[in-house]
Amino acid sequence: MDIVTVQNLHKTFGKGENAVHALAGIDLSIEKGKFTAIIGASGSGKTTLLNMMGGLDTPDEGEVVVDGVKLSGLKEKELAVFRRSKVGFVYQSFNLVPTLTVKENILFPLSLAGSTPDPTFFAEIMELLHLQDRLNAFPHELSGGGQQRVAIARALIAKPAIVLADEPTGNLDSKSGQNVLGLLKLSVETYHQTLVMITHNLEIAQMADRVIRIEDGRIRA
Amino acid sequence: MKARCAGVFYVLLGLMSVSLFGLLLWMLWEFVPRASVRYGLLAVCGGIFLVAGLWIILQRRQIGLFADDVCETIDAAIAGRQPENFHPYEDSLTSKVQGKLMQYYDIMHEGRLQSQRDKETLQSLVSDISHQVKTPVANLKLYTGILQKPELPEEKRVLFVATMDEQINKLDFLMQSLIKMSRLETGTFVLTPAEARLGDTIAQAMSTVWAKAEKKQIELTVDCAPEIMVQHDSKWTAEAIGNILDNAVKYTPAGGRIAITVRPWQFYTRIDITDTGIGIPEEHYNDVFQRFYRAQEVAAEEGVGLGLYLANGIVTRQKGYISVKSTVGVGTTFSVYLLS
Amino acid sequence: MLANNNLKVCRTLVTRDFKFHPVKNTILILAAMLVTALYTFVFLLGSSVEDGFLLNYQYTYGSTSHILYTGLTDRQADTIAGNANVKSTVRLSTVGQVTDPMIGQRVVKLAVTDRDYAESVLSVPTTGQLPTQPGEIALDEFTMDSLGVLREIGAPVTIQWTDPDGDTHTSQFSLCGWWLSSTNFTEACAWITEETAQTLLPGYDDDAAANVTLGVNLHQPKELDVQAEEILAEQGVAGVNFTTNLAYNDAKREQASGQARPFYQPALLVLLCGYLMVYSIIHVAARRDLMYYAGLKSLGLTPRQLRRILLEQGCIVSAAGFLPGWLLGFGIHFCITSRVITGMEENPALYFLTWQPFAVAALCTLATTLLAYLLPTIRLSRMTPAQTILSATGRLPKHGRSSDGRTTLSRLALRSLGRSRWRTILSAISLLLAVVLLSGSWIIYSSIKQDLYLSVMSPWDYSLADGSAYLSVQRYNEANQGITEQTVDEIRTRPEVTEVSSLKSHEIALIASDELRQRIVDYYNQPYDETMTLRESQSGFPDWCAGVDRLEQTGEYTGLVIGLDGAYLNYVLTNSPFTSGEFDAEAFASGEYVLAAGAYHDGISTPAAGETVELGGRTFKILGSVMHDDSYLSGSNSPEAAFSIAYLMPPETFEELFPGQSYRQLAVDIDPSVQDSFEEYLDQFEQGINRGVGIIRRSEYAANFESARLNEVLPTLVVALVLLGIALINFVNMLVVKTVGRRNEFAVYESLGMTQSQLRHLMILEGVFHAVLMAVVLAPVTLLFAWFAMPSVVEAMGSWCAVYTFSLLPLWLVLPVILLLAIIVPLACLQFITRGSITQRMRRVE
Repeated sequence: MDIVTVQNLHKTFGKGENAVHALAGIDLSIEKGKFTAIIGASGSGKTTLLNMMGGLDTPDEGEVVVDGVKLSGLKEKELAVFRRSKVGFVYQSFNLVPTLTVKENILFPLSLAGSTPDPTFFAEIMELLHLQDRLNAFPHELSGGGQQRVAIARALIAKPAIVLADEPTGNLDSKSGQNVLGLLKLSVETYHQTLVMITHNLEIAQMADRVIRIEDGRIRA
Repeated sequence: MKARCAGVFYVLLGLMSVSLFGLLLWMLWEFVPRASVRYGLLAVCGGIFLVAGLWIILQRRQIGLFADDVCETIDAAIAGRQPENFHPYEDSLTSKVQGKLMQYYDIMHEGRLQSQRDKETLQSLVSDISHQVKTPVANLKLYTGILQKPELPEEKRVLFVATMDEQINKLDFLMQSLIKMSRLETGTFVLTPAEARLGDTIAQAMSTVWAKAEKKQIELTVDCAPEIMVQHDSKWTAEAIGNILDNAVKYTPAGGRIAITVRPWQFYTRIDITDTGIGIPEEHYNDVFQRFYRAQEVAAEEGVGLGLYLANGIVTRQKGYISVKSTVGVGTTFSVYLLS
Repeated sequence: MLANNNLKVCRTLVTRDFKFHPVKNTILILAAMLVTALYTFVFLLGSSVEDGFLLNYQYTYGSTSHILYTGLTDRQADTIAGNANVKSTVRLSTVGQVTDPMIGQRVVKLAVTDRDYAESVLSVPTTGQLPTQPGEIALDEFTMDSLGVLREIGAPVTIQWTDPDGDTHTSQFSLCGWWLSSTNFTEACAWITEETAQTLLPGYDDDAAANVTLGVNLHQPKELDVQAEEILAEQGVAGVNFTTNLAYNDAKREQASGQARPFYQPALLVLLCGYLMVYSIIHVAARRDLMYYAGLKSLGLTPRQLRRILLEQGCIVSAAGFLPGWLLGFGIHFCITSRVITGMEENPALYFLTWQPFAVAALCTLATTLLAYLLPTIRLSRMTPAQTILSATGRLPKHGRSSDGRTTLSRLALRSLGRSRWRTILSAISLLLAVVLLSGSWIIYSSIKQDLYLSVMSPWDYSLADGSAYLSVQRYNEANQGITEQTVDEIRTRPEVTEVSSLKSHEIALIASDELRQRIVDYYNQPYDETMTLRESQSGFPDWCAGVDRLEQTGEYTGLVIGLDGAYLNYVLTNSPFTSGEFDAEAFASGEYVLAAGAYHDGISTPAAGETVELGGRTFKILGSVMHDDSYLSGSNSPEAAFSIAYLMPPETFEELFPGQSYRQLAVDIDPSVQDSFEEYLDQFEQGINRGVGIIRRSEYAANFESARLNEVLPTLVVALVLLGIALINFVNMLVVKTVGRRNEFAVYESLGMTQSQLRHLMILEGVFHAVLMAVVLAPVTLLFAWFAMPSVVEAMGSWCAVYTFSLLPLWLVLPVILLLAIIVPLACLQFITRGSITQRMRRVE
């Protein structure tokens, strides 16, 4: 069962001579409950593709269907609801809200939706990601790995249809990177989540169920 | 009780509005001398009452619509179709509740699918097993047939019996593996993690390949601090590491080296098993952990392609994971990450 | 659709923002405070000016009551007070009238104390109090001076008065309080207690005695005359006189708000500069904020929630700025308004204090702040997070124009001009606005000419006016003997005096011939502009209108006979253009001829040259008719003479017509070298016997002029200065951001071998380029504005003493400041950011 389908996706930045074809006709589908890795050199359009799947950016051409809904048909305010309910993001730069505590950060998607968290689920995730002790700290008081674990918890808390991770270990040293990666994989498997991860690290990609290579905005078989 | 409370409340509110209105009338007639002003004020207050009434009616309507939407969604879920008035990405209470209901439905649905998938897995397992067992059984049948011939010379009989023994051993190994696998697949697999010395587990694993390594003159080294304690199921973990080691010994040419290093990390303990074997091409990193996967290059070697699959299954069950890094012709490193 | 209740998280984000960015938010609150202060000041000033004008009308009328009914009995007063349209009444019972010969023609009523009434006629003692004990009396200063009463509580007062029956009494009182009555000079009250009244005249409050004056306040003070009549008709009271308050005349109100409008106009500027200020402060961290909001949006923040966050931030910032802003605004108002509104006993800032300007200022501040906060979100809401980040991190680099590949410092510096273009434009715009405003104010200031003003307002060195004609609100009392022949002779014989001119006036009732009547009516019915006739344009002056109506219906009108000579005659001849005939000194002196003086508007509104007029039994020929500029007359004429035709004749002829009348005013010119001794003489003269003479010095006019000229530009000036401050801060801010933002770039330069001195050189070049850029924007626009727009602005002021004068002084003052800042600020920043090793600094890029 495909949770995400991408058809003939095109995206160009800039104009004329400076135009950069970030995506030049991408077709792919992501299977539900699987770990898909997208690999490619920097500038190959991986991040743009991920942004499109998460409704962070709009394509020039083509269609993204997530969980049966075409994203091109959604207005920006609907996209916001889509992001907070269907997508969990894990960024390279963590992207935590600096003014909120760890707990508030993790519960942020739920707060945005005006929902209350399920306390058992929350406690479970906290234990899984070893965050129980730092709940009242602010992000800047945590190490990079710690911040990324918070980000993972945040991506999972709303039980999204798909977790998108953009180089989650890119800003971490290899040790904490492996730590975080393990926990990410573990939590995704524990909750049968679909994970799409961007990486340029093949060692990481080998852990995936499926690896997609992107080169110059195209999928290389 | 709650309903009764609300009833009392409604009565109180009604009385209060009536008395407030009365007060208003009295004040108007008592203190406002001008008739036109008096009626004007009365009209304004009446208007406010009216607006408040309309407001309440509107709210009730909204709540009614909300309830209808929710019911419709549940009906649709029961019937297993997509609800008609489903706007999943509207920032409204309706879509919020609908979203939750759909999520619940999906999870239930997913559970059904899962059990179906389990059934299919079991079927394919049975067919796999029968496929794997077929050859040795056929061989045994053949040899038994030959052995039943009385004219068979003694030396040949001894040879055939030895071959049969070999086949039976192979069948036994296969059966053992298959049993382990089936238990892994069907989840009837009980791991009893306990705080234990990792060094002991590794030693146990090494003992299974020691002889083979000796035979191929492969140097086995271990770098593991004795005080490292990890929460794990010692027996099964030894089995998993043993499988990886077995693999390593199998694909490392004679005179090679196999090194085991243990590094305790924040959340994981990393066990690197590095060999100087033939290596795995990048595109097959994933495949080596698949069931019955045999690389073309190693078809000559004996094996059924279950060792790494089992190892991965055992480690994953313990909330750990295995990663692989390899250079063809130089060697392979399997890293086992055990949650500490 | 039941909206999702998910706005609580916005509150958390907002409060945390305040906790985490205290400096930014404090600055924002300060900005909101400044905006509130400016709004408060502008609105307080405007409302004070408007109220000031209205109060002025009330002063002229002499009471704050809407309608004054006089000569009522108690019962009549009660019935009127019972009318449904009447909101409140004040009541005065008079015992009699003070008829002491020293009082002259003023009407001073001996009345029973009624605080409400006293307040309504602005006659509450400012020293001492209203009488409470028998035998006490409270008087106004004019009366006290006339009677020679010492200014101390308890001083004995002897008064001769007449009761309604005409019997004269003399009574003793003791003074218990007094007030300065510049208001109802011709009518005043002497307050006594009820007991005193009973002892003085038992039965004064009999039902039959028509001695009650009733001041009525209506629910809706509109069309007072009509309402006054209606009330009388409804209550069946007949034969009662009434007057209505000038301040509630619709045209007057409109006039007042019209005159106050220029004082409200700076509010628009405050809106603009407040917006710029708040916007630019928010903009300081725009990049970071954009990234922040993009991050929030990527987590699913809806546009509604984004708006809510900014809305709450804006509300909190403004709300926190309100109180200090109000205080500051009131402070400015307190200092400045008393300069703008002059001639008041109390500080006008306190006297006219109401809550409305504060409320309006708060609302406007909220609107301004929210505008600055929310306007950018319109764009932000529509963008996807990826677009937001893209817009924050800047566009993709463009291909540079082909060059020879060599880079010079000046080329590098020039390139920096193009960076953060919006910020540069913003600071240029705000600077431009400030400089243009300043230039405008300065040109207005320097265009108002003192010599012009003085030549008109005080063409002569000193002006001596009869006591009843000292102030323009006073009605000249022809029977007064303030300036006598003796006085004139005395002044004439002073050695310092070079010329003394005299003026007398007398009002007489005249009847116009049918032809003249028709001419005048036609004259006033001619169109004034597209919307109204000349007559309608005067609807703010009901007395005048009544005069014209009377002329139209009966032919009766008031003639104002003026005897004048010397400087006065010269003034008239210079400033009043002839509409028929021409001046002939000999004929004028002969006593056979008079000049007819009418409205200051083209056309003949009087008897024309060659016609005759009969004045005081003698027939005069009209020498010529003029458009009368009567601003040289001191005091005002009677209400009947609001519409009048003035006939000018030599003093000798006037003396023949009205023998024994004393002078209304004198114009004295002196030898400037001996001014001191003459001033000394005047001081003595003023303190001596003659209290009933007002002296106006030219130097007073000059001083008045100076402050009036400043006041003319003060509101704009204050706003312009604040705006300039904001604009300069903006400019500095832009420079700082541009320099500090390139911290890494400089590190790279240095790592490539640029020396510190080269870097400094680069900074100086950049500064100069920025200053030049600003000058290129500022100078031409300011020049064009000063050259083309300002003349019409000065003309539109409609001030007769303004002559457009070109000047760019503010520009020349601001440009060096800009240059200085443009050089110093980047250098200082450079000093700050080049600390630490190059590698350290380069690493900070990530």
